[in-house]
Amino acid sequence: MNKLTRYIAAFALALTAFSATANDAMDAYAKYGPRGDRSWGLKARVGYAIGGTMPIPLPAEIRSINRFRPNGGFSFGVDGYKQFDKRWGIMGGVHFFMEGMSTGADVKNYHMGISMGEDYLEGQFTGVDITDVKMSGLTIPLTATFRINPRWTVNLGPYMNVLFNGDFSGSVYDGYLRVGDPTGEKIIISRENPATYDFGDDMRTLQFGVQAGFEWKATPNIGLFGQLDWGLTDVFKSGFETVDFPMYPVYGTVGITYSLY
Amino acid sequence: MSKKLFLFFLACAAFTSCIQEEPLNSECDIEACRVVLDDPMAVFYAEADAECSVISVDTMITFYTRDVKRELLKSVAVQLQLTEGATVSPENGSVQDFSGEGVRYTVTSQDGQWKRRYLVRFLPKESLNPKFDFESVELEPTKQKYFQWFAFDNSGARQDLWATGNSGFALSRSSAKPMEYPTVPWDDVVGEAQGVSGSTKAVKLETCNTGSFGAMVNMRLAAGNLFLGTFDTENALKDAMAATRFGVPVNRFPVRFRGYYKFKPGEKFQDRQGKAVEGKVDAPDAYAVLYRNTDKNGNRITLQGDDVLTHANIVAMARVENFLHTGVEQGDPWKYFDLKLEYKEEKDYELLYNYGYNLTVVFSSSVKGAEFEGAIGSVLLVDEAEIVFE
Repeated sequence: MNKLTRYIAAFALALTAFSATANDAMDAYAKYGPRGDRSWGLKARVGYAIGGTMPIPLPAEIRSINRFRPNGGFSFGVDGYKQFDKRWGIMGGVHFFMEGMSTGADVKNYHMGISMGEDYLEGQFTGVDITDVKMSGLTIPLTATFRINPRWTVNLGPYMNVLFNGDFSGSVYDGYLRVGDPTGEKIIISRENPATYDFGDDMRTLQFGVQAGFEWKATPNIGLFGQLDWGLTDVFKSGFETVDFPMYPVYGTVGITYSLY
Repeated sequence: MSKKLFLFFLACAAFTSCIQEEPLNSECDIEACRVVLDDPMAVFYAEADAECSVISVDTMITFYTRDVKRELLKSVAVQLQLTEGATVSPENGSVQDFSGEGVRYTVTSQDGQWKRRYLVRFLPKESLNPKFDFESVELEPTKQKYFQWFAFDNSGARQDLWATGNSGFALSRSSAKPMEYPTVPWDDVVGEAQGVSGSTKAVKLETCNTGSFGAMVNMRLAAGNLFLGTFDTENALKDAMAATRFGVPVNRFPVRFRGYYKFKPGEKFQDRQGKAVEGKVDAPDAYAVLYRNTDKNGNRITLQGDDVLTHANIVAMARVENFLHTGVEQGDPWKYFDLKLEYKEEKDYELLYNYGYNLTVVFSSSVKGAEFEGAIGSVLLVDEAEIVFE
């Protein structure tokens, strides 16, 4: 990283200044920092998110993942930031996000329960499980920022997700369910007549996690960014026991920023 | 930048590729068993009787034998087919004494976490009690959620020959109370007015809504049913027609099928998709079918939902036609039916004495119930039915 940073820094310096003095370097921080004499600014961002909602680590009940398709979506938002000094600052914003995935997995003895109104069916499923996850909502991050050099900034901090719409649905087939526990009644579930599920209503509206990201300024106003949102709360409400293990959203976003003000 | 992206993708790949070691099997079933004998025909009526596959809920495995001396069963080996990796005690295939009530086996799962206890026993094949008074009924013992029917043979031994689809309904409507199931005992009975005394219970068959779970698997209703045979819940979702396994072996020829019913159709006839079919009125069904229970090669056949009225092995049949809409309230009249079984081929007494014929008697509140078509709320009451043998 250091080497690369140095190259880029050197390149940036070569672009922006002929006389390599300390003052010029200071000017470069100003050039790619907040406009004018201000220590703060506003930027807009547009990106595309890909990733998955998954148990971490994968439980032994999942025998193989035969299909994984990130079902990504656009994200856009506005951030405000403030520099405390040349390097350190803080950034907070509101981002709208759409994220999702589609997986097909072979499972063995996978505990599942489905409730529909008053009726409840619970057991251990062995066979194929298809899951589709779609989520949309707002991410509200608050991160510390550090400018490695005039053009590169990294940030790290907590975020909160407010879910507008959560869909967690799927089907199971090509296998069988043991009702209750492994000694219970065996029910064959065929591909022709799969059992479907939808846990969208059981998804947690407020989720928390950690965001880590970087931004590289291509011009004083336009930058490229990448960020990773690592969920630390189960996407399901507490008390939801259908899926035996917590599922965490882990999504990465890449895109463009633009300084608004 | 590239390094960071690389790390990010590495992290993603880690989630999708770090599959843990396969857990050991948790199941501990006897899936099938076979009696190892030099001369099976000395003990059984047919070689096929020395083998059986075991339904997942069964823990009592019964082999039906000829009326042989119990001493013959003092040292018999039974070979068990277990879930992969499971172990059994006493040892699989070991010689045991089956002359008493039977031998208890304990199967332990591969992961050692689960156990199931089975009783394997030998009973002489007894002929069917032909009086269907529906007086002997109990809650299914393990879950106590729904009713099941049984009877007693001439010697007073219990016969579990009647089956219903109640166990299938239990999967879709776990919250249903025992009396909300499609097949329940009923206290409006055939009595003095019909010249019958002693009946305290009838059977009520009602076509019921299977709720959201039923819709999930496109099986939106469950007709009340009661029949001679077994209901195989394991296949109920995969192939509903194969779940109703009709018939029990008999050693006499049935000649008449009699009984009393009341019927009222439900209001809206619906197709499999749950759409109302205008102008169509639901009807119930009641029939007796006798069929040869082996094919040309000596393999056992069991008629199922899709061939019980059409199979080439059918020998005789009687079916109630044109059910009256009597109403199903206390004061509504019972309708008597008395039908002759029509034989379409010669009776083979040699085959009969070797229990080569199966008889089934079937009652259902919706004639198309096996195809999940009918009217929710159709009710058929049945009491004091019987088969008259030669």
